[in-house]
Amino acid sequence: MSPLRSPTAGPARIEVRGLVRRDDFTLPLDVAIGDERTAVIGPNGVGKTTLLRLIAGLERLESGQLTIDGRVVDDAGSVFTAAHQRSVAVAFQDHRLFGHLRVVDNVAYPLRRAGLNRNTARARAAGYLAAVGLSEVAMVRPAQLSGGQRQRASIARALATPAQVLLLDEPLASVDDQSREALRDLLISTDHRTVVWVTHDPNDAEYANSTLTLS
Amino acid sequence: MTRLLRAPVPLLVPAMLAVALLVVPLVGLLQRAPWSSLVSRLVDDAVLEATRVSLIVSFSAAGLCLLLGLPLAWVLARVDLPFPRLVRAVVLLPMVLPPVVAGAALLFALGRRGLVGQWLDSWFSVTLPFTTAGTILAATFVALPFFVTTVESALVAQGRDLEEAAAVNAAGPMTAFATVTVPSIRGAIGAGLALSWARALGEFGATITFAGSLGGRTRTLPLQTFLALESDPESAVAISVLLLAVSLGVLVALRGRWLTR
Repeated sequence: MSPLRSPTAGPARIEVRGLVRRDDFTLPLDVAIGDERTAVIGPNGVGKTTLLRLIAGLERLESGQLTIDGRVVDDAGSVFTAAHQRSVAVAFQDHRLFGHLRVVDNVAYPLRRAGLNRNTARARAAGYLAAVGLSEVAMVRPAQLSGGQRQRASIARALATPAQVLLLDEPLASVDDQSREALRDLLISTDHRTVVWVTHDPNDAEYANSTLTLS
Repeated sequence: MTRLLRAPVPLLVPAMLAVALLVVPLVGLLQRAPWSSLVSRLVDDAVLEATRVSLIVSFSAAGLCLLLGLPLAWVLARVDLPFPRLVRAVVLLPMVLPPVVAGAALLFALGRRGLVGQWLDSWFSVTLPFTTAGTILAATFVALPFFVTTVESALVAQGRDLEEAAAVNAAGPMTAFATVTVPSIRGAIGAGLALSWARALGEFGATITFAGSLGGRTRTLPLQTFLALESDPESAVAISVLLLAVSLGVLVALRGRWLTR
């Protein structure tokens, strides 16, 4: 489903080595992600979300270097590939749906940016909404959704984003237990070459090929 | 909540005086209004001409506020500026500057011999003082901060979260601005437009100083009101009632924003 994925390519390799500035201290990171499905675990405040934000291009390194598939996208200096130019999709922990758009148009948003026309993008978005069990609320605004529904819509939008790398920040934290298993399977089987999954749930980590523990 | 009559007298009395201070002049205006001939006074040629100038000037000024103020509000809210307090003070200054000073400043900058005006005159044969364009400029000068502060505070309140979400969905900065930022603060943009339009409509001091009071070109409704006070006070009252109604209309349109808490 993701047009950028070439069927022969293996996982995209991500390496982060350097320092990142947090509010009042700097955090050292030395991380290599080479597997298709990597779970990132560790206590609160060790920089799990910051790691995702660095990979996504929403934050810059203070020093060091970040490479995706061998290409330097941030060298803490002159080289910085902006978020919209990296092949990265994100499901944010706090959902971040666009309040002025209907749920289906939120999911269609990345497809529209990829150049699809409105109807094609909506049709494809409807497929992702069905996969996360939100077909019935496709035409409402995000404000009318419950917390769990918002998170599912956010997952659908991330899945719909044509990208090599899918970053998930506690994607199942606010969904109910019944749908968690099905959503987990959905996330595992996505076409994205590499999935980096921040989680507190040991069950999520079991599904991953490897586990990265930050401390 | 304390009932009205149980409020402490030292607070209640000044509060009532304040309300009286605001209400009495309006009552004074309304009781002098020539209600039976109100419409005929408003369709008088001079008043119609001033209405036409006022509409052109106030809507053009609101349009300029949108065109220039929306990018400015975004820059103030999102960019790490050098000397941010100074920049913000300069942007807000027209709100507190005496309008006549604003008019004088515009004259020294854009007048025929002004800092920039002399070049406009000799290079492009553009003269701003005593023209409708100059009137629009004066109104924009005083109205811009109302638009910018309204929109900037909405941008700050909204934060960068949605713009980040747009960015990871492959939207470049301008696409994110147009498809996410602007639609999600459209209420504040509308409020800013209403406020800046109302301020432009009521503009007097900067206009008369910079653009004078030329019938059909720079004489707006407030200037016409001032002129009529001498010769035809009832006409002045009629225009005042019209402007009062428009101001109330703006407040009602904004009620969801400032009249509730």
